[in-house]
Amino acid sequence: MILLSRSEEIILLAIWKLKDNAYGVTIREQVSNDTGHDWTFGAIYKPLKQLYSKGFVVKTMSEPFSERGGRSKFLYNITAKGEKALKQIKKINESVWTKESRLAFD
Amino acid sequence: MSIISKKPPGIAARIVKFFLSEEDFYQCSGDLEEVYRSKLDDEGKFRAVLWYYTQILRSLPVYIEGSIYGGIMMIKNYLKISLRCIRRNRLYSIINITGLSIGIAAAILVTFYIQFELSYDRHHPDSGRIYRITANNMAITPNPLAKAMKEEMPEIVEIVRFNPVNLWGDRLFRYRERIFYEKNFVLTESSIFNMFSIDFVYGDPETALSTPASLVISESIAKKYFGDAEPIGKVINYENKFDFVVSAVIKDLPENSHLTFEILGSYHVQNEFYPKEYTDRWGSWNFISYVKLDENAVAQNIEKKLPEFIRSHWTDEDYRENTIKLQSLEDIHFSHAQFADTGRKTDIRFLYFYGIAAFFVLMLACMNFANLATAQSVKRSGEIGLRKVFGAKRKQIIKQFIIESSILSLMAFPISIVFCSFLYPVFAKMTGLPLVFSLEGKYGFIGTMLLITMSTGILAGCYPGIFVSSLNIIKILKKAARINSKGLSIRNSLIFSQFSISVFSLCCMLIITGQNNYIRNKNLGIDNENILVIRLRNKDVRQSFESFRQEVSRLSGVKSVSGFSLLPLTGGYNFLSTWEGQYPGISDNDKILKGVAVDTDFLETFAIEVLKGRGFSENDRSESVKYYILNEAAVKHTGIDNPIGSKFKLDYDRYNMGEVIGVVKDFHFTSLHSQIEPFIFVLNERSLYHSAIKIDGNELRSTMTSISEIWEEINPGQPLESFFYYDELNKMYSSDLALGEAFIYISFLVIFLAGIGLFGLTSYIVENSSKEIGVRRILGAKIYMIISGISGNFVKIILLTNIIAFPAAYYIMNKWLESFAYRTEISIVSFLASSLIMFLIAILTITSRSLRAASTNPADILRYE
Repeated sequence: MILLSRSEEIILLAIWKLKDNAYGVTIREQVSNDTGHDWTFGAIYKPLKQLYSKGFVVKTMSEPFSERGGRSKFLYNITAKGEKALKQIKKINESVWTKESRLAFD
Repeated sequence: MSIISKKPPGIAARIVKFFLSEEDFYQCSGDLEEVYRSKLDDEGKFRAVLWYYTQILRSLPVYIEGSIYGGIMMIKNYLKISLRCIRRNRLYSIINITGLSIGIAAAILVTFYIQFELSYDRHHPDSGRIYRITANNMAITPNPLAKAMKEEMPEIVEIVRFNPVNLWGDRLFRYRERIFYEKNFVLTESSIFNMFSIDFVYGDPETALSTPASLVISESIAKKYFGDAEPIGKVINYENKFDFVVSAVIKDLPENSHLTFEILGSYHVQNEFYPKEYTDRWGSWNFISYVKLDENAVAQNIEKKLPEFIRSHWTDEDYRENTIKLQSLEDIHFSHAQFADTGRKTDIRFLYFYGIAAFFVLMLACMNFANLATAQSVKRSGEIGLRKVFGAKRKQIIKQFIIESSILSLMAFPISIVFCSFLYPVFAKMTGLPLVFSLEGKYGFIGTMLLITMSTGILAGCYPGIFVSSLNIIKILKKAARINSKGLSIRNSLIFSQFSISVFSLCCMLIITGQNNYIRNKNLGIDNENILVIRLRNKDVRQSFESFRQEVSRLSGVKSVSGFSLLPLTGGYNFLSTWEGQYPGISDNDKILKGVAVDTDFLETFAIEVLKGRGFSENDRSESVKYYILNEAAVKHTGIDNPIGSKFKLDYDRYNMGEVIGVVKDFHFTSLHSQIEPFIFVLNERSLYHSAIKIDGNELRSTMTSISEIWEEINPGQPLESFFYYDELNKMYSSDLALGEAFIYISFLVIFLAGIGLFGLTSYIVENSSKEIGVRRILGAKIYMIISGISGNFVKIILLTNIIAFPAAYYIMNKWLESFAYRTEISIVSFLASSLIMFLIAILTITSRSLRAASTNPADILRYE
C-alpha cells in the first residue's frame, strides 16, 4: 500500500487534473481552488519535492518565458506509479466510507 | 512600461535565495515572478509588491525547515573540522575563548542589570494604568484629593492613599523586650491589595486592614519580632501609646519595587493619631495617592481636566496655582528625587552607559575572533579552496565559519558564567543591584544568556566567513593570496578600533580618578574624618544629652563632643534673615541664608576655622540676645562691612536684633557639585537633634564600644543610631565613585582584550614569516631590526589611535566635569599617560612574541628549504 500525506495527495491530484500544463503557478491555483484556501508557494514545493523523489511525478523543463523573467517552467507530469497511487487512495477512501454508512454529516 | 520596472522587488528574493538550493530558487523565483507580473497588470504595483512579500514571509518557515533538514549532513562535517582546528591551534583557541567569555560575561551582567532596572514596578497587574499623583513635582497630595477625583471622574477605577508616617521620622515599635525603630511604617487603605500585587503569607486581604488596630507586617518584620512563633493575633505596642494587633503577614516586597513599606497600619486608625484638621483638610499636604485608570483612559486627558477640578474644590486662593500631574508607576524608578519619594532611584543614563560599555567589550571580543580567524584563514586556504573546487557555495563557507565561531562561543559560555559569578558582587555594589543573585525561575534570563552567546558566535563568524569565501579559488590553491592586502587593511582597522577604545577608556579612567582624588583630598574647610554622628531622636534622649555629653567627653579617645540641629550636608535650613543695612525692597529669595543651629562646641568638633571675631562660648547662652556666626560667603552676600558686632536676626525669631560675633572661613558644607553658599550658625541648644563626636583615629573601635555602653546606661531602651560623617558625605558622590570604579573595570577589560588580540596577531605574523626572518638573519639583520620590522606597522597604528581617542575623551570628560562646581582641569598628563601605557603594552606584547622568533637559530628554520 502506498501512503501519501494529505497535501501530497491534493497536489498529485491537481497535477493529474492539469495534464500537460502542471507547473508551480497552475498547481498553486488549482490546489487553492480545490481546497478553498490560499496556498503559498512554500507550501507547494516541499510536497512536490517529496512526490518527485518518491517517483510519482516526472519533471521536465520548458523553453524560457519572458513573463518569468527569462526563466523556464518546471513542468510536472504524473507517472504510472502516481496514477496507481491515486486510484489506490480513492479505493481506500471509498471502502472506508461505505463501511461507515451510518455516519452522516449533513 | 519598460521591462525593468516589471521586475519584482530584489530584497525579498535574496532572503529566499539564502534558504533554497539553486534549482529550487530558479523554480520559485520564476513562479513568483510570473504571478507578480500578472498581478502588476491587473491590480497595480502596490498590491503586487504586497502580495510578493506576504508570499515570501508566509513561506519562510517552510524554507527554514527545509534548509536545516538539508544542512544536517554538512553540519556534521563542519563540526568535525571546526573541532580539529580548535584543537590544532591551541593558543589561538584559548585567546579566542578567553576573549569571547569576557565579552559574553560583560554582556550578561549588563543585560541582567538593564532587565532588572526596567522591571521596576512592572510586576503589578496593569502597572501601565497605575499613576502616582504629584503636586508641584512632589509626590505628596492632600488626603481628600484622590477620593474626590474618584467620585467625579469615571475614568478612575481605583485609588490608594498612604499616610506616610515614615516621612516624619522612624517610629518605635515594641513587642515584649524587642524594641526597634521602624522606618517603613505607613497607614493605608484596603484597596492597596487590589491595586498592587502583594502576596499574603497569613491572613486575608479583605479583612487585613478593616479595624483600627489591624496591623499588616512583612515576613522579615515578623521574624524580627516574633522569631518563629505564629505572628497572627500578637499585640505590638506603637510609640508607647497604642496597641496594634497583627492581622496579616505579607511577603517581603521584591527588590524591584519603589514601594518600601514593611508595616501597614489601617487608615481607620488615623483619627487616633491625627486631628481631623490634618486628615480632612485640602490644605494638608501630607499624603501619597495612587490612582488606577480605566483601560481606555488617557492620563493626559485627566491632567487637562485637573485645573478646573482643583478650582472647584480649593476655596483658598493660594492653592489654585498647584500643578497636579499623574506620574506613571513605571516611570517612578527613573524619576529624579522629589519630596516624599521612596525606593532606590536609578539615573537612566547609567543604563545607557553600561549598555554601551558592554557593547564595546563584546565587540572587542568579536573583533579578536574576526582578526585571528581571517589571519589564520590563509593557513586554511587549502581546505577552503578544496571545498570550493568540490562545489561549495559561498553561503556554505560562511555557514562553516559561523558554526566554528558558535562552537567557540558555546565553549566560552560556561567560562563566562564563572566570570559572572566572580564579577557579580563587585558589579552589584557598583550599581546598587541586590547582592544575592539566583537564577531560580528566571528562565527568560537563561534564554537571554544563550541568545547573547549564540549571536556573539554568529557576529564573530560573519566577517571571516565573508572574507574567506570571497577569495579566488585558483589564487587560493596557488597560495597566491598569502598576504592579501584587503585582509591586511581590515586587520589594521580592527587593531585601530580596539586600541582607540582602550586609550579612550584609559583616559576617562585617569580623568575621573583624578577628579575623585581631588574630591577626597580637597581641603573642605571642615574636618570629616572619624566623626561619629548620633541621632537624638526623641525628647527623652535630648533631655539626657547633657549627661551623655559629660560621660563621653571623659573617654580618652574622644577629642570633642557637640550637638547640632541638622547635618550641614543636607544643605541646612533656609533661614529668612534680616541684617543691618539690608536693602529695604529685598526679595525673599535674597533674604534666604542657609544655616543650622549648633551648640558651643560645634566649630571645634568640625575644626571650622574662625577668621574674625570668635566662636560661641558659654557666656553667649543668653535668653535676651541671640548670637550668630557667618561664613565669608554670607558676609559677601549681606554686604556687611564690619560684620563683628553688627545686628542680625532670623525672621521667625521672636527676639530682637541679635549680634554677629564671628566670621568663619568658607567651608564646603555639601558636596563639591554645588557652590559654597551663604551659611550661618545659630547658637540654639534647644534644637540639638544630632550629636557629633570627634574620635581619635587610633582608638576608634574601643571608643565606639565605650560610647555605646554609655548610651545604654543613660538611655535604656533607646536604640543607638549612629553613622560616620565621612560615609554620609561620600554618599553624595556615589554616582561619581561608581562611574570611576566602572571605568577602572572597563579599561581593564578592553586593554586585556586588545592585548590578547595583538598578541595573537603577532604570533600569527611571526609564525608565518619565520622563513623571512631566517633569511634576513642570515643576511646580517640584527634582532632589534627584525623586531622593529614586525612592530613598525602596529606602532604606527597605535600612535594614530590617539587622534581619535583624545578628542573623544576630552569632550565626554569635560561634559562630566561640568557637573561639579569645584573641579580639576583636564591635564595633558592623563592623555600622555594613557597613550604611553597603551604603547608600552603593545610594544611588550609584540616584542615578547617576536623576540623568540628573531633569536631562533636561522639554521633551524631554514634547514628544510
